[in-house]
Formats: sequence, structure tokens, C-alpha cells
Amino acid sequence: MSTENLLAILREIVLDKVAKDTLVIPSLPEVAVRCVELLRDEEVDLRQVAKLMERDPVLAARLLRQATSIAAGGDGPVSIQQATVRLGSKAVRTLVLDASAQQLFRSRDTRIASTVQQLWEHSVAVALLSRDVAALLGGLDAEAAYLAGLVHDVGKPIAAAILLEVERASDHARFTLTAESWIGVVHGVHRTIGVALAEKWRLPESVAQAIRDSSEFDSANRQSLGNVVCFANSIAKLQGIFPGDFARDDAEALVMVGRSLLGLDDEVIARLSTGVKARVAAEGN
Amino acid sequence: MARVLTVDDSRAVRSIVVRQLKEWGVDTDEAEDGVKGLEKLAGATYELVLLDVTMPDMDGPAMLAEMRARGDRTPVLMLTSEAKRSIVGEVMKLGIDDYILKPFKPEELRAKVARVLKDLGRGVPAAGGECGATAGEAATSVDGADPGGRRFVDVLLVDDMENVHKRLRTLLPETISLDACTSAQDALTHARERVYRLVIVDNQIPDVNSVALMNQIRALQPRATMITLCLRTSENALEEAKRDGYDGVLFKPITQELAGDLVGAYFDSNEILVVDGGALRIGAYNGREEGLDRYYSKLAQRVRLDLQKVAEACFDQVELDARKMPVWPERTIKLVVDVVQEANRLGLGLKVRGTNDLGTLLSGLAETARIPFEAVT
Repeated sequence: MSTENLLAILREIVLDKVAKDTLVIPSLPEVAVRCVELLRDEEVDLRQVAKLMERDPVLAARLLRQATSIAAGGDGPVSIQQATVRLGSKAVRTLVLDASAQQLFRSRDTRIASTVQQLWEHSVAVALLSRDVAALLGGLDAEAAYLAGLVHDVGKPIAAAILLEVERASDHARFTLTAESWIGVVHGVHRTIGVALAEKWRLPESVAQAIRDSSEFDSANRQSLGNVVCFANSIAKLQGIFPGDFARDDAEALVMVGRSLLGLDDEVIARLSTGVKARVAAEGN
Repeated sequence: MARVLTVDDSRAVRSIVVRQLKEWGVDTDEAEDGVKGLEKLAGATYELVLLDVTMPDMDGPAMLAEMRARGDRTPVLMLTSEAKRSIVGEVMKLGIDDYILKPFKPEELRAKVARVLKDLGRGVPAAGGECGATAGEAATSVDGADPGGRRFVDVLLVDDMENVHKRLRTLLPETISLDACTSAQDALTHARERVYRLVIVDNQIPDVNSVALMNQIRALQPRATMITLCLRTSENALEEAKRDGYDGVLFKPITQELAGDLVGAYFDSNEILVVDGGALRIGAYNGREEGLDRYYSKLAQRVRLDLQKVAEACFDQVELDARKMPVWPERTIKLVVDVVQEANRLGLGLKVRGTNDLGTLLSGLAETARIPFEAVT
């Protein structure tokens, strides 16, 4: 079965599920939900947050690792409480959502597991670049930019799971998913799913909008999160941080437009791009 | 004079482009669509075409395709409100040099036109290039005004000890602005919210990996210089710092001389020489004797560039105000001789103002004895 036919089937299934409100979007883990809720209050007592995070070993480990990495020095583990205070509420919130999002980029299917992992690395790269670009531009929430970059492709692994269901339910003679084919198929539906996830996780509206709008630039609203993510996405691709094939011409065109749209010169872009791979690797350690 | 063709169906846009390019000394022709643009190209030679996308009769991509099919390799800069990747991708395949999205800032147009013309060995004169404008305006460069409107601060110091902050503040000139942080988190927040010229990171902040912190700050401050603040524990401290990715070193304890060297190395490029109309005023030197060589080298570079600006601003004489310049016989003479030669080449008359010591020095040499000199105490 051709990619186009697969895409048509997938699109029909997804839109049907969205219309009937039966699209199964993974929820935030309970601890993450409660942490994020607490952290909406800027004056939250971080000890409460620390107590919650102690209940989730994955989150706790992530928190400790981050608190003792970039801005820390490997002198030995600090307590969860010290770690939350050291990072601050904004960074802890981002970490919780980051850890939760990463869970979505896992697949037990050996055909697609590797590509899904590469997709996660791409998402981290776009998140890092988006945050840096937002910070450079000023006037944008850098942490929201990070989140938007992180989840801009989150619909893809979810769509992949739907594709696997379709494959299981269908006659294998019709189609069989492969490591190469699935990423191209999900490209056509992932934004719808991504926006649904952003709404379910109660992410800022600007993040949902960025997922929806980041395939093309919005020249009427130059310094939007969508434009930042679109630009960061192209830079990450040109740096080779993207699974599978992509249209290099498209990415180069987007970078050329983005330079003018966002007011960034080549030197700044080069600095942002340099070392992205290493930073992505460091995030994973 | 460089010649540029602007092709746009909007008379207002053409008018703005023509006016701006003319201010910068660039001659510009106009065409209202691709057909007329091709007619202009057939009849004259241009160094650059500024090309819109959406136009009646023949749009930008069609005109560009026809140009290239005819073997016309004139550089093209797209000047358009079209941001769709498919269209930009199409013109990129045909060969364009750059792209500007409308509405645009004059600085962007200028920078991109200047770059293309420079690649062709042509220049876009400094701002105020028309006769009668002051060279002071010419000396002011638009150095990447922060598009996000973030505040510019000269120095960010990251050190957990507040007495180090106070020490550096007292040792730096008041004209140099300073932000100081005691923690990595604060430093990163500052780095996201402001634009710095110089970032100094202590290498002994408790629980902080200073190199990692520096790299994070560097990503947020792509134009800043990164300095490590450390004790002088080895003779190879600078090499070690560079291996870690720093651009330089500042040793503790910070002394007046070290602070003076820091200013000399990273800030004096603006204070070292100031253009004031038809005068070049040399700034004072506050560092150690060992830094004089670097001071003079920087001065020599700057003088050459600034003499050019004075000439382009149509002054026929330049005054070299050397009252504050430290007199170091060999280097002082070399500098003045260089200035004489460059001024002669540019057709500028020269006069020097300085201390009696300088006057005595210049009068003792054949090469400099005839320069009009005014001693000022």
C-alpha cells in the first residue's frame, strides 16, 4: 500500500476519533499533574513540590540530575528539596513536562523504536534552540518556547501508535509498517494530535498554537512562538538532528526567511547551531 | 558608484529603496514589474537587483528564471512580503544572494546590500557619506541593535563573593556598566534578559561547573567575550582557559592594573579613538606598561579606518588630538608617520595637537618636523 493511501487512512481515523472525542491522548502522570498545578502559583512553597516529586522516582532522578549538572558541580547528590529550590519553579515545571513528554517518545515496537528515539532527540534540539532564540529576541517566554519546541512533534509517536493498531487490525498483505515508512505517513496528521495533547495537558495556549502554526512562518506576527519553533526546527534539521529524510531545500528556505523575519544574522545563527548535538546528548545524560 | 535595480510594483516601496540607497551613495534604477525589469537589464549593467515576488505581468520568480536562462548572473536580493517556503525555495534554486522580508528596517537593507556589493569589491559608504555630514556620524556604527529591545550592559560578573563584585565595580571606569550575580541561576536569568559585551565567570563557585555555565551563557550571548576569573596557579593559565572554551583570563586578586588591562583589551576599541567632526581624539591609556604595545597596535588600526571616514565625510583637513596619548618614542613616531602617509594618500591636510613632550619628539625627526603642531598643556 502506498504512503499516500496509508496517510489517507490514518487521517480519516484520526479525524474521526477527534470528532467523536475518542482520540486517546496519553495523560500526564498523576504526580506531574499535581506538580504542574502547584507550580502555577508563582509563590508556591517549593517544599510541597519537592514532597510530591519524591513519590515519583523517574521525576526525582531527573530533578537531581539536572540540579547537579549544568549549574552544579558533581560534588555529590543534593536533596530533592535543595534541587527544587536551586532550579526554581519555572525550571522545575519545565522539567516535569519534559520528563512526561519523553515517556511518549518510547515504543516497544522494534521497527520504530530507534526512529522514535531520534525524534525525541530532534525535539530536544528544537526545544533548546527555541529557548535560546526566544531569549535573544526578548519579549517572549523562553520557557514556553522550550516547551513548544519539545512537543512540536509529539503527535508523531502517538500517530505511530495508532498506525500500529491499524496494522494489527488489518490484513498484513495490505500493508506492513516499516522503520522508514511510518515517519512520512504520520507527518500529515501529527499536528492535530499534538494540539489535542497540548490542550489535554493544559499547556499554555501559545504552545498549542505553536504546534499548529510551526510548519510555515506567520509574517503578520513576526515574533511568535510558532515562528521561533519553525526556525529552530529547520536549524535542527540542517544540523542533522532529524530522523529520516527531509526536504533540505525547504529547510534552507525557512532559515533564509527566518533570518529576516526574526532579525538574526548569520553569526548569531552559527553560534546557536554550534554544539547543539552535544547539548542534546548532555540533556540525555 | 554602485548601480542597483529595484523591481517592485509598489511605487512607495521603490521610492523608499531609492531614497535609502541614494543616502548610502548607491545609484538606483526602478522597474514596476518583471517585464520592465528585464528591459532595464538588457539596456544597462547593474551590480545588484532588488526583486519583489508578486507583481503583475511578470512576477519575481519568472523574471529571475528568465534572467538566469539568459545567462545573467547579476546578484539578486529578494525584497518581498512573501514568506512561503515553497516560493522562497524556488527562487533559491534559481540563485539569490539574500532575502529581506517586508516591512524591513533600513539597517537590514543596508547590511545586506553592503554585503553583496562588498563581495563584488564595491563599498557602501559609512552613514553620513554625503558631503557636509560630520565624520562623528560616520564613526557611529549600528552594531546589531537588539531587536528584542533588551538592555545593553557592558559586563556580567558571576562570582559567589559580593566583595569581588564591589572590588571590580570600584576598579572599572564609571562609564562601564556592570551586573553582578552570586549564583548560576541568576546569571542565566540575566543572560536571557540583557545583552552583554563581556561575561566574567569565577572558576570557583561552590557546586557550580563554571565551564558548563559559561557555555550556557555563551549560547544566550553569542556576541559576548567569555573570561574566566581565577587564581594564577599555573604559567599556562591562559592556554588552559582557552582549552576550556574561554576567550581570556582575569586573575585574582583583581588589581587596578589588571582591571586597566581588561578595559584596554575589551573596551578601549571605542574609547581609544573618538572621531569628532574633522578631529581624531586619542583616548587616555589606563593599563600597565606591558599593555602599551597592544594599545598602540589597536590605535594604529583604528586611525587608518577613521581617517578614511573623515575623508569620506569630505573634510579636507584632519586634526590629530594626541594630548592624552602616552608618549613612547618609537611607537609614537611610527604612529604619527603612518598617520601622515595615510592622510597624504587621502588628500587630507594634517595638524597635530599634543603635549610639549610630543612636540619635542616630533620636531627632532625629519619625517615629522614639518607637521603643523600645537602644544597644549
